[in-house]
Amino acid sequence: MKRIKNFDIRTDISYDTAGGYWLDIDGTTARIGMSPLVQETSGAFVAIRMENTGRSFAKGESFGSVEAEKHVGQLIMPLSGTITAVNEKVLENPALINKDPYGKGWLIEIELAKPEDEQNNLLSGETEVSAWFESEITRYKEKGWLADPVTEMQNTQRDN
Amino acid sequence: MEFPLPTITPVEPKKESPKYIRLSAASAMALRLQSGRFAREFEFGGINLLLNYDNGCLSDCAYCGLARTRPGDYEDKSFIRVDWPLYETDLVIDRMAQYEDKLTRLCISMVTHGSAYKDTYEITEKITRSLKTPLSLLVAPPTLNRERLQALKDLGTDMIGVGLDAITEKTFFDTRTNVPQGGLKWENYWDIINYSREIYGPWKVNIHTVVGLGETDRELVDMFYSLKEKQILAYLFCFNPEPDSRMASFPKSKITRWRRVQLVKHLIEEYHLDRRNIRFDEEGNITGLKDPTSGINKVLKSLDGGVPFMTNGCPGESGEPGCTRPYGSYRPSDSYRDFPFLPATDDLTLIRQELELEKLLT
Repeated sequence: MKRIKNFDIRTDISYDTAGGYWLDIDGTTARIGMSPLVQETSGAFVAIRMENTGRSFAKGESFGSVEAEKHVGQLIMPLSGTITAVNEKVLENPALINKDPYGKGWLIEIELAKPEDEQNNLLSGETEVSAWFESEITRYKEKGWLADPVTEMQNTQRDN
Repeated sequence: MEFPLPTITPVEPKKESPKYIRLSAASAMALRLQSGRFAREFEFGGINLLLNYDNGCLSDCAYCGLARTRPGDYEDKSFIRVDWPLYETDLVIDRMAQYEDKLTRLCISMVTHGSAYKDTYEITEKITRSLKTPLSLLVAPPTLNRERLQALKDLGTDMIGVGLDAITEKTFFDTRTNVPQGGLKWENYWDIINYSREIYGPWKVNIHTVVGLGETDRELVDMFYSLKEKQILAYLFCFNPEPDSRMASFPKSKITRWRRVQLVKHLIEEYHLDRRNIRFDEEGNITGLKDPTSGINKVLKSLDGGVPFMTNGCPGESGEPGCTRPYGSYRPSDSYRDFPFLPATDDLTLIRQELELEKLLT
């Protein structure tokens, strides 16, 4: 885990830069979840819907949807494959995505349909992942989607 | 004395107003106190503040998330279905000053509480001293009188909102139980509305009117005409059941009814629609518009660019939409009940279907 501008980022796994998903790939299977940056900027999740195990999707197709307090979005397959497991705990409690995006907040596991063809489009490697997160954090800050930390000056003013 | 002595848990200091204040989730995002984004990107600058007390709001409105008898601690209660995070008031004012160029309208919502007037006064004074963005107050009538309203006006607030919500005396009492010490009076609400109108002037007072609390369309229409005559604004809200509230299992207003009420209200306010041209059925539902003038026909064709379906809220300094409460009456996964921006072409197509416009004109 690497600390990048207040985010704890795993740099030993792959990322889908279009949707902001992480993928922990083991041979022809992958566990998929939402990156800490995407969950943070989506706000507190209140509802999630995901398709059942056994369903197959091409890369780019929707496998569900997620709703936060002020935001709603589709869950998009980062790679083609068949769903082999859905995180039931997340279905019951979507806030797990916010609390533990790499751990208890994982979304689905899939059997990859094109393990060799599509993985080239994913981002991996500590240097590449770190650089991408740094630029994404800057971009999200500019959009106003990330909270500003309370400054020391604001704390001092209030203490006086 | 028995040993060991019991462990004493230190009492946490209360986080109450005026030192602390709650913010709507959208406002916390706008002030970068909370991360997040909207389902559709748009400029948002209407900051909603809410007083906070450990023992909460003493009113008991069946549809409200803050109701006294709704289960749970006040600090855990949602209001219009979302959490309102709590911050130090000074921090919020600092942030409002920092982002003031993006802000369009500020509003403090009172709750029914013995300290609400004193604390609203104090917070208002701090805000108007530091910021130029116009400030409204959504007041709790049981806590006010004429003198207090005048004092709040003198501090620099420019608009008053009254959460009447239920627009007839019957629905008002059907949806509220009394406040402690018997302070709930229909007349008291109207006294405060009338005093506010006198003190703040024409089109500076607004009444929150919730569609779906048991009133008929005919009663809503009567209210729109009556308020227009008094130069008081009606702000529409769509009833959206709050979980665990007494009306949690009540159905949300049907979309066709809601859209028609939005449209007719706009035609009354902006195009002087004659009451005799509105058709109702026996139950008081709007069923159609007859003999519309050419001006009104034009509006019906264009839907006035979607303006009738935008959020009713206090304006910004130059009359632009100020308080837009995104996703206040619906979830992000629902269709927009009121739009915090001008509806797009696709939205207008959907609105036309929801209105069942053809039926409305036959």
